[in-house]
Amino acid sequence: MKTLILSALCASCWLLPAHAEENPFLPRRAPAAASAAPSPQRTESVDVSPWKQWLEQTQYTLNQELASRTRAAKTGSAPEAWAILMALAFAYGAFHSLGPGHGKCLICSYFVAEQSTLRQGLVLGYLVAIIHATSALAVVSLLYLLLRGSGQMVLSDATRWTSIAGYGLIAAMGGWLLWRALRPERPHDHTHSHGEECRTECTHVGAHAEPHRGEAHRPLWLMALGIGAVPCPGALTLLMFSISLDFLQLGVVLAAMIALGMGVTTTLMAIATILGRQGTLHMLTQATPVTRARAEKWLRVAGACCTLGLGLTFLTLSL
Amino acid sequence: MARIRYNAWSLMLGIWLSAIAPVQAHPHVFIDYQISLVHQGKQIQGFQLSWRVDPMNTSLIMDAFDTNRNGRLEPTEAAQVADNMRESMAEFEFFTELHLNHRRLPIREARDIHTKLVQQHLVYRLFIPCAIPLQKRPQTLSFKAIDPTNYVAFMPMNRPFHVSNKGQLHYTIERQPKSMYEPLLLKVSLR
Repeated sequence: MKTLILSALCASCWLLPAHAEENPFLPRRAPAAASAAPSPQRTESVDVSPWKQWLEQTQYTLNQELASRTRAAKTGSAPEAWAILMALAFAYGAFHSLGPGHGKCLICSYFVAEQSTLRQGLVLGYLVAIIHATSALAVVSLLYLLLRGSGQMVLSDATRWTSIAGYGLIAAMGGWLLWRALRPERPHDHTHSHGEECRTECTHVGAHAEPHRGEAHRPLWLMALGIGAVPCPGALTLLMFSISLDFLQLGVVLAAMIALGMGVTTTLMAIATILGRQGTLHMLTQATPVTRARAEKWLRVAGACCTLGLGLTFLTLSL
Repeated sequence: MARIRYNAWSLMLGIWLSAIAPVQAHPHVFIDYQISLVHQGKQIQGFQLSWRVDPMNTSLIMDAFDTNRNGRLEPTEAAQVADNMRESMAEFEFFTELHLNHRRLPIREARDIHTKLVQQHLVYRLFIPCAIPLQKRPQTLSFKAIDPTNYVAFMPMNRPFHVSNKGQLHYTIERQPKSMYEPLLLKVSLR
């Protein structure tokens, strides 16, 4: 019953009102008919925390610097200028992904649901960041190298389809994680040999609370693909800017630096979650095996519900 | 046991709250803005706004609207940019929050939307009408440039506030915006 209440609580997060991210200066996907113009949103602004203000101010400064130095690089720059430009792109990636989004919450949900090692946290954090930037590059390449001038597809269409695919994959992964978390416990078999992970984490109360080594690695790639498939708007904008300067090569290098910067942030979040999960379970070392197994199951269900709920939320907003 | 439950529920609450965070967007478009208070006779007419879009987003907008790819905005293309703005920003009251004596004023429309390309920056000029009769007693008028979805961040230019016509308006600046999210606060009265 408690598990059910918890599941409902976690799943309810996707019922909260949300906005789809859309650049208001670009053509809308579906132009609003004059008669069906939406009524103004009378949201009253709230005071912004100094931290958020500082973060956005820093991004503003980095954005301005990146734009002016990229333009300067077009006309030829000293090697130091290139180094500064790359450092700026790296910093922009790290700071930009400190804000909401960029898959951090999904990564954390996954690592709450799945027992993982710090190395897996590092791998997923960087995989997401790299696929996130690569997706932006793929969208730009599709539009400007393959479909240039054909008018078959515009930027928002391409972004939309990659987003739908990514969020669909995340929702499916969330469903799979939830199924795994809720499936009936199998009798524990001690005739086989346990891996290192299993020796340290297995609760030995009649079921494997966690998958064996190897099985746990498989969803990492799929999660990374799902989360990273949504193109990074920051990298996308930078690539488009470099195309407008007729200097796509530099845009690609800078997008890669942005991905590396984002990887630092996402990896730190992943590692913090893995350590938090381990710490929570460590607190239960004195508890009975049944309590410990129940706590692990709760973590798995909660993480899976968040992954499923967020995947469905973003999928709905993308459609 | 009670401690374990407390810790478990705290963790769940943390997960739930963090799940909400991604639905908040963060800025991807940066705009430098200026405000000009337009006044005639005994009434404030509205605000003339100037928005300068960052160069990266300018290239995105140009890509979408510069259909003949000549790097300039022809009159028909500029009209499309303005129409798009009118359609997509009306529901957000053109990212403008106005308060008169701490009461929110509705923003129903933007007029005279013009766009031009100035040194790789797309500049929007638009007029936000709001009829405010001036009174002998000072009234508090506040202006804030803000996107409720937080996709666009507004940064005031060096001297962001001007008054285009000083007819019978008397004003004092209580607070001048110097960074993002800061409002312009004025005391306005009849001279």
